[in-house]
Amino acid sequence: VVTAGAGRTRANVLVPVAATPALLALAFSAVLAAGWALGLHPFWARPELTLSEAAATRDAGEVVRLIEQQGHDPNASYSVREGVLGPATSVSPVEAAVIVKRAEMLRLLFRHGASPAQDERRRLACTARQNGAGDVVAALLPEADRVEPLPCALRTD
Amino acid sequence: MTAASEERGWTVGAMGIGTLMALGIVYCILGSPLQVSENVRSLLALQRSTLRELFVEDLSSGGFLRPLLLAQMDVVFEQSGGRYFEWFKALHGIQVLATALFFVRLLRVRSLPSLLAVPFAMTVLFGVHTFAGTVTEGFPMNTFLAIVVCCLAAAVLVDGAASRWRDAAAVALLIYAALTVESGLLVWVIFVAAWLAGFRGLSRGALLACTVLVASYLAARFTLLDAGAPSLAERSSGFGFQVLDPPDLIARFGDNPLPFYAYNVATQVMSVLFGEPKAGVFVLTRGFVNGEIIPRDFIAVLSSTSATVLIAVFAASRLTAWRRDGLDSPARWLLVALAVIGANAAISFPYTKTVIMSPAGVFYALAAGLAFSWALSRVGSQPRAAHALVALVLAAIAAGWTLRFVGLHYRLREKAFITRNEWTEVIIGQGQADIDPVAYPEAAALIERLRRDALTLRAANPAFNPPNVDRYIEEAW
Repeated sequence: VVTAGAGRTRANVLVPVAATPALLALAFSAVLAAGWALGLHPFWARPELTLSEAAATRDAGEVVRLIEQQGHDPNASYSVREGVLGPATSVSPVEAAVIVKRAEMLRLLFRHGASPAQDERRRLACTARQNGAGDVVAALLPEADRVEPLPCALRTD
Repeated sequence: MTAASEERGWTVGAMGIGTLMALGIVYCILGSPLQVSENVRSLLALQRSTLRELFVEDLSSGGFLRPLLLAQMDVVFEQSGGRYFEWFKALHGIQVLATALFFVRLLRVRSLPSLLAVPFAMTVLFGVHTFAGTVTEGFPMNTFLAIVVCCLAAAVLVDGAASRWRDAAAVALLIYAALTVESGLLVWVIFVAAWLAGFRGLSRGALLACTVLVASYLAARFTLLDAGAPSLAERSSGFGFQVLDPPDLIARFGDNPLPFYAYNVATQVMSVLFGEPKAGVFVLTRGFVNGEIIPRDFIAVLSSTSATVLIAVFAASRLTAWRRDGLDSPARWLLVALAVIGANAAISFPYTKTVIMSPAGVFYALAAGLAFSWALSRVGSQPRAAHALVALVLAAIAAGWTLRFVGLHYRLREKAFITRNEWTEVIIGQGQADIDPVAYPEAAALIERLRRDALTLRAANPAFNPPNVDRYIEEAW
């Protein structure tokens, strides 16, 4: 800058101190750019998700990619790492969507081939009702197909 | 080492810093799919219409006058050869790099303190909330960013010795900017304000020609084309603690919109200088009233206000010297920045939208960068206790802006995730993709191509973010 440059000011130690936060921003950019050049993505971490993990974390894009481009079966069960739905477990994508109460994820899964049996739908609808997710119940069981009472027994397979 | 080679060395260093900090943003832009909202319709319009039809259609539409906007997109669309994502994203990335390089050029780095001020200036340039919309959105071209580049190019043109090529470039730049989006008229404001401030890069003749062009534009807009200004019925807008939809706006201000327009102009200026309100909504104040203060809102207002205070201190400290010796380059840029902020707010009177103020935000960043550089040079003069305190204050200001700068990258990453998910809801024959695939197979193929491109990109899932990070990262308004 013209004013600052007058007389070719020599910086003392306080100048870098004042500039340190902005230099950290520069370092952040350098890491991104270097990672990009090297094919690494430290800021854009993309852990490999199972179909059920993608459904549980509302990652609709990954759900569709796994089904359409990777050929994953939307009716199978997949492992879910600890922290996503609580302790590590293995559930179907539909079950994962029910647990996190995402009706739109259920509809997406149904559009892409998920087709749980009627008994399974009724069991999941019971879980959804217990969780207070009326929209999930409606997505699982249209009014016409709903037979009360819904069974809440745990799956035994 | 000669003075010229030393000057070149500082410039290269500054450009390197600017490029590096822009590359991080470009990286995030390239990782995000083309957005769905407004984009699918735009691309389908490009596919079915000729360049001439697009141009004429825009001239006959009321409210807005942007005939070069769709025309530019059409050129990119046709040239892309079906690689829409790559071409439109490359254009977006080039715009960000151009923004950074023009901006750094204006800083005229000539010393170590001024070089060390460049990263700070870049954090303000990219971290200010008015900039976010220029990179988080694209329809598929980001017109606001195009105007930011034009405004910076205008500033580069005025800062130098007068020449014919500068005059010709100035006229061409003004025509391009004004016919792309309304805020392009700010290019003329920069020309005039810079001339009045003492910059002589343009001749009087060029300035006169530009002024005639602007007068012609306004005459055509308000008489021949009946484009006028957007009415209350066209957009939602922030007011007080909430966003009002058109019916609410008409109910409140339909009889007399002048108070609403005055509110918009005043709050747009405040937004740039103090970070509050955002798009007309007093976000932090609402948090205070409701007892729900979120750190990100506090950080935004504190960093903006402190940078504004720094600019004011800089101007006050240099005032005597400027009166005695005449205006130097930083003083002239401060005046230009004031003019751009005022004019930018004035032309956004019909409704408030943060990204409209992006040119003002850029010149605000320039003023902040100059002030920070001056402050660093003062700190650098002698190590004393008072200077240590100043250094710590400057570090605190810079820390706030660093957080906002990093936050923009987070928002871009989040936007990539959201946009990719939105593509899963695009179904041919429904909603925005409401076309008959049998009658228009090429339109269906276009949508399918865009959808496949979007889903193939791997977005980072925010569910794996560190807990509470969202409370510290500014929202894109």
